Amino acid sequence: MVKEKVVKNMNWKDLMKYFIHGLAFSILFFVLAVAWTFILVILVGVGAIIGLIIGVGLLFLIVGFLNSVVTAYLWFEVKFRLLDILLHGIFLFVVLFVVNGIVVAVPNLVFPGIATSVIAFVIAAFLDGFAAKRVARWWKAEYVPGVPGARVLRLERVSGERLAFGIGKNVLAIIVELAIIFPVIWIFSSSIRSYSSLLTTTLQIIPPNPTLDAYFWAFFESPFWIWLKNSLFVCLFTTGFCIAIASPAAYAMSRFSFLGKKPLLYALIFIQFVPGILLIIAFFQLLVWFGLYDNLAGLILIYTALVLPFNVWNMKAFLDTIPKDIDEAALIDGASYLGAMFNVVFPISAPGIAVTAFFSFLTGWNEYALASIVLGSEENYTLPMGLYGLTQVQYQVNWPHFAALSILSSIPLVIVFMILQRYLRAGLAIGAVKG
Amino acid sequence: MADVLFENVTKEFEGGVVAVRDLNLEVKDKEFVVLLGPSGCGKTTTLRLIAGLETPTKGNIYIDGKLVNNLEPWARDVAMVFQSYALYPHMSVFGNIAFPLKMHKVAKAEIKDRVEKTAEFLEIKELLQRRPRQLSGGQRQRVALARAVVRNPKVFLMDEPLSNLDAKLRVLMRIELKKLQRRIGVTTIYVTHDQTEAMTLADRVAIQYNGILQQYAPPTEIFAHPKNRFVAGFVGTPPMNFIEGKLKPWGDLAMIEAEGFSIIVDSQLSAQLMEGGKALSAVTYGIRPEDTEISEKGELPEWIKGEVYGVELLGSQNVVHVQIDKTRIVAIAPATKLYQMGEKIWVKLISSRAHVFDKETEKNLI
Repeated sequence: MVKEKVVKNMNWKDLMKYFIHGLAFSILFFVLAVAWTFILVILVGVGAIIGLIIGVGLLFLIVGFLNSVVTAYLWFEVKFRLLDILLHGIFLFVVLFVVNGIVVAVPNLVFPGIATSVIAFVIAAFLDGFAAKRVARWWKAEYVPGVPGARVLRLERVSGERLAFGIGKNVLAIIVELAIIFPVIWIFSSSIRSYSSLLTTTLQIIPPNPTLDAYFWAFFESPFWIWLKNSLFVCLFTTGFCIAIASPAAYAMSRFSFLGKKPLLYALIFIQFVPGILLIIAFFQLLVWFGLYDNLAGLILIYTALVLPFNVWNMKAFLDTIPKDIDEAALIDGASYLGAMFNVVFPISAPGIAVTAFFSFLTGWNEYALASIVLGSEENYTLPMGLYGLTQVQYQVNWPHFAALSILSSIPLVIVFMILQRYLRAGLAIGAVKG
Repeated sequence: MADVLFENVTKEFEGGVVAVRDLNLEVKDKEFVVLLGPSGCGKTTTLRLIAGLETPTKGNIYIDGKLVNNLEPWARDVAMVFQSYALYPHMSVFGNIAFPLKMHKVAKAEIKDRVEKTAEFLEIKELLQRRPRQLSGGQRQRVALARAVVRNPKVFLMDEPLSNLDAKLRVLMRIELKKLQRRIGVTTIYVTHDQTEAMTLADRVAIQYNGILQQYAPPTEIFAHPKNRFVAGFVGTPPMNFIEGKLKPWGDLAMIEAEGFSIIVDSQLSAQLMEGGKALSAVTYGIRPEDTEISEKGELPEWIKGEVYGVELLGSQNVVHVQIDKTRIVAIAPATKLYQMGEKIWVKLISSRAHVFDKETEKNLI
């Protein structure tokens, strides 16, 4: 009965679709299997049992996800909730395991050879396609008009040219992303090496005996926490001061006209052209006069001064986009100028403030040159200084340690970015055009 | 008592632009005054002077008898509805309406009560939890109105609040605004460039041009007795016809000799015109399209011969453009009469409703 149905409805187009389904699935799965081993290594590092469970779970999710995408593109809409994907993956994995086992492995045992493999592969592609679609049918989404399909995957069919272009675009994007993220991967790989293996000349992303020793050292034995505390202290206060000073300044620049406004605006731009390095001597002298040498507070002041021109300029450009009508409405409603500023303009300028915050934080976090001038004693070191200090040893530099600390140092920055990114997207677009 | 008084007020901006020139204006308590005029005539600046967003260069402004020249906007107890509504995008509708009360340190419970009452009054109660960006133009306008109303201010100021609405909504809101003002009974000053709005809403209209107040009177008087040529031409649709000519005596009557034809003025008008020997002076004869008559037959001297230049069929009436020698006049004919382009036609100008302006001073001579 089923066979009749299948044979009757068969046409060349459908046949090709099955083939593509199976093929696409195999290729994608192969690519991901490589990545999956990589992930598995890390997970095993976490703890054998837990790692294995998570790894296998991920495997099923990937299988389910892949088939959902391919099915949605080729055949019909698929239910796409997390549980659906997981169960889908488990079923399909079992089915494919059996099918491929029979179709590919068995003939190769009986007639080993390239020809057998190729033929088996082609047949397997078709059968995989059949099986995958059949399994996917259990997760077919019934489309009810009027009900928003929030957890359903639907992909539009595109013409060959657009498809090729689409794929090409994405492949290119992935290549570029890999190129960009490669240094991070490499540093991470350095950080999980054992000390001796760094001397090997082979390029291995996953070192022979991966270990988390470097991280244990970073957490428990190194001055990481002191450096982290100092960096956080400096950066958070810098950010706070910058927002507190730049916002009212930008408000005045944007809303009022006063004597010397234009020269001041130009000055803000030109000041930024001066490289920070040139100011080292001047800063040093100032700090000594005020007795702030080797004091984190001194560093905060310097960082604030460093980023303030950009922040004021950026905030002003952003505030310029907020119509003055709103200020006037607030004034008439009973707010003083300060009240209008705090109650109305600033809440609206969240993106501008986010850019200010992020830029201030970023500058402070990564800055080395000025910090090395200002800070003397080790207990005041910020993270960049601490990291640099690791490389200034007479013996062989312990690169895994260095790499591990680098990775850990960048995590707070990532966290800050993730918190602010919603606002940053809007803020950077506006500020960047003007500044 | 919340009246508004302008005493010789001049406002000059940087660069020498004089937006308001020696303005003397008084708005009575509970009056609805419309500041009318073309773009750049100074009406918005006048409004902002009352609000406190600008300070006068010369002269004094009084609100409710108190001199407010140096009083900041937040201390003036006025409320303003902006052309763009200027709603606070980061607050809900409730927050927007409550904001002025919050700024005046009203108790929370009272704020809630007043906001809800005002929202109900303006029929936006179900929108209280929404954000401004989720509202339509008409709804936003009501929120802006609610924000102004909730405070019970001394004066309402409105800066072209209807210009962002579509035509149908504008007509509806005009009537609603008038009723609202009557019900609340607050002195209202309203700025617009649309003469229809001015005529329908105002108790008195102040027409401004180039910063100078042209005429300040109830709408009917502005329409029937415009003080000068600008006012006569600004109010009324289609606009008044203006014919240049020389004033000459013609027996007992007066006559205006235009290019190619003459207009005989009736006895009453003649008497007024010939007073003080105004003969031979250059004048402008103004007659509204609705104060003309057209006919296929006519005879001098009452009727003037012309040719149909063009016809606009409006459905309810026809607007006929008549070419008389080098002058073109717009006349209104009933819809049933269809005139062809190029057709010879006779026009009668009803003198009793005509206006004659001195060409130089542009003042109405009647």
